[in-house]
Amino acid sequence: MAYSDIGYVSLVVALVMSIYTGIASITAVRFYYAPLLLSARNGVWIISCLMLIASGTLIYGFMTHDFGLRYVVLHSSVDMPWYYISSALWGGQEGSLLYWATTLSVLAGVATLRNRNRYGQLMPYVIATIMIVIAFFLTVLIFATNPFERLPFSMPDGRGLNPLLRDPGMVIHPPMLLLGYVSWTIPFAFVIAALITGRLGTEWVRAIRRWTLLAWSIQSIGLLLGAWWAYHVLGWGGYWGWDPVENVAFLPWITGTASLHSVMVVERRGKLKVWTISLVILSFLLAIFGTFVVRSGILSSVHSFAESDIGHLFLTFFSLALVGSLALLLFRLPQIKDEEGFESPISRESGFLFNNLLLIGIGFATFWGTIYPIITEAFTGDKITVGPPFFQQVNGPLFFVLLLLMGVGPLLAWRQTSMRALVKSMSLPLVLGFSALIMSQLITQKPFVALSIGALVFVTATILLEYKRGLIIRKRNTGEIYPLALTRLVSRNKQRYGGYIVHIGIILIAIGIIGSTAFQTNREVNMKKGESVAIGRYVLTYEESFSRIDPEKEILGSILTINRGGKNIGTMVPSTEFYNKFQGQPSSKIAISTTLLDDLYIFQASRPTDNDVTLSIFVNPLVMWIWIGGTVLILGILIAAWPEKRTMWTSLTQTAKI
Amino acid sequence: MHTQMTQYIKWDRNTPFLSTLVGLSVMISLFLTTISFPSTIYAVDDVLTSEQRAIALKIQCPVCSGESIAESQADVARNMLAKLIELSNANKTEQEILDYFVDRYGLIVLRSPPKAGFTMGLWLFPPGVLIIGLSMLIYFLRSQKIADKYPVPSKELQEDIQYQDLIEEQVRQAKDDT
Repeated sequence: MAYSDIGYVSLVVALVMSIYTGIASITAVRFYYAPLLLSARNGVWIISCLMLIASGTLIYGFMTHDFGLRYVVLHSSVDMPWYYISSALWGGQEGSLLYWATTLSVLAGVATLRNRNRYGQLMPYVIATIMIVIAFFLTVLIFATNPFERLPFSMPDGRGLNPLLRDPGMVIHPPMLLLGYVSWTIPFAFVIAALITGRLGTEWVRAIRRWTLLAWSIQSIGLLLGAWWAYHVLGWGGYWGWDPVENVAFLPWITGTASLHSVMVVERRGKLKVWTISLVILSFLLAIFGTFVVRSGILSSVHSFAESDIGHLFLTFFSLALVGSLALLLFRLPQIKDEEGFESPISRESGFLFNNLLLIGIGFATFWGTIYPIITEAFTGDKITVGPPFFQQVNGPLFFVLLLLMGVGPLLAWRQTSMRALVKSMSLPLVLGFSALIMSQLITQKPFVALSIGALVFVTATILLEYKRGLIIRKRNTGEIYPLALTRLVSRNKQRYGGYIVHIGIILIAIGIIGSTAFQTNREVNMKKGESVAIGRYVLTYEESFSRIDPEKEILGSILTINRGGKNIGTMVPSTEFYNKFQGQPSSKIAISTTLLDDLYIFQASRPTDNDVTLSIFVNPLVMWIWIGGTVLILGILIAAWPEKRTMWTSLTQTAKI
Repeated sequence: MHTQMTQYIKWDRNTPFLSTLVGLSVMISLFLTTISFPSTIYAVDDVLTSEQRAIALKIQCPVCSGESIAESQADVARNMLAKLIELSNANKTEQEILDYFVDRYGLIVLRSPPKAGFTMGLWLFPPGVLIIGLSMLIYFLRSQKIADKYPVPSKELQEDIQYQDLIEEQVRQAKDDT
């Protein structure tokens, strides 16, 4: 009996518990037997504890360097610092699936705890749905890819972590992205519960809006961290490569964005229920698809699909979930069909519909480009690549129209807007947008850039006007001073004004993307000692090479002095690390100097010698605004999702009474 | 208090577009001139020219995932880049260079598959789906007969609707608060 058996036994017990909990909670609600319901609730929390024990066991194995465990041998080594070792938990297939199941069980525990006095009819089915998902992951873990598999003998040392992954960004980015996938399960469970019970009134809408917002924000953070990691580690001067793994993470985010918008129509007008339900189901299915793709390697080649031992299990689960939810939806269709139609094609509602169409268009193009290599290989045997040029060409115009719509949408009133009112409220932003367009065209001579800048100015102006309008009305009605009026305005309409802040975040990100794609300059040069090279407003001088030998790696770098606009701003040292265990895989440490205007980004393209070095130098304008925009976006989500003070207070006092 | 308010409104009404425009134009031109600076060329030779780099960005490194030969540091990619420079210096056109690599390595090296043959489907489906979606959406909106009941919304009706929305909003907030 080794300690690692504790982990395995926890998994088995958790599987049994999850089946019991699922059955118990449905039986309880069917036969109105309250004690069984309490038992099911406890079951959820026990599963959370069991899963935490299982994950803890694996982490313990990593920390104590137990090289008798196959997974520990494959993903860690003695020389790794503790923070990389603990992140090795999700470094491979078994561990990341364990992490998936663990975080889902914890989320289920939180959802059960938070809603113990709410959604009485829905919760048992929510719990049952989550239990089915957990049971699937536990089955995979126990029978197909056991993370606690022991080797017949202990190895002296492990293989270690790929040098590319030895970066602080890698400690936080994958768990965030995986957590994003995981959290789509909760809104999905609420939708399924609402469909099963037929309680399709208003209560489930609130629940799915909150949980969709949570899933969406976690996924946003995950994607932003991924972009940041790619930018700082990969060395091609970019942050988004339209790589299959990135694309599949982008898909649930896109459908989730669509559902976050259409759910507002359900909330306000009780319409588009079928559509919104389908979007939530689709987001969950895409999250499962994403989890599976990241781990199976199906997209790099058709053949690795057959080799992957969990591929068929995932495919089966995916199909069952798809067929099951579709059947449920069709069964309830007569009940949730919209009764009355739209009053007018020019209204907030139809604005959201166009928004959804564009988002689904982007989602489909991304999905299509991602899987087309598989289709081509299956039909013609040819291997093809679908790279960034395709996605930029197809998605670029769609993003542009979406951006314009982001400006028009908030000006549309619910039910109907007269053309005259719309034109009146749009006139100032339109004038500003057009003048920005003309000016940018005159200065840059790049029509795409000019169009995007015009659109950005237009959208920003409409958002600011929306704030101004609300502020003036509030001040007139209450006589509050402006700062107070602003805070009250936002805090009384968090969803609306928080949403606008999210839009401002998107605008800032768009500024960063446009600036860095349209105005990126790059030079790849071979420099001798003492030579200088100019790029943009920078002048770089190669001073000398430097080297350092650590126990696990050798570092070779080049020391450069940097001159910006005639002023010396110090030295930058791009370097390359050669790990003893990964000789074939030198890992680059990129030197980046960031300002609000541009980033100087230096990548060492050859091994430096005392005489010369080859450098790839980028000046990436405005990249900083992507990260600033990301922060603003998260801030906006926090405002939009911040719980009401009074509800928080009442729930606290309620808890105190209990 | 009252005078302050009228002052504000006055200011707001009389703010000419022009002053806003001037401010905006100054900001945008400042911003654009600073980022679209030309790069001065020093004595050091570039390994590849910007035209060569633009071609290299269209060629996928066959052994790496998601990197073009302009970016990848893999040996294959470096060799292909050297070949590209050689071909380009021999005055081959972009198409000739791309064809050369497709002949050697297959379609896999093109980051943007050809708009012909089987890969035409890649390019046709997304706009197709979008057009179908758009026509369905327009059909849906047109089929909503209710719009005909109020062909021209009178001013009163519009105000009524706005008032109703306001009340709905307040009721909802009151519900949220409790």
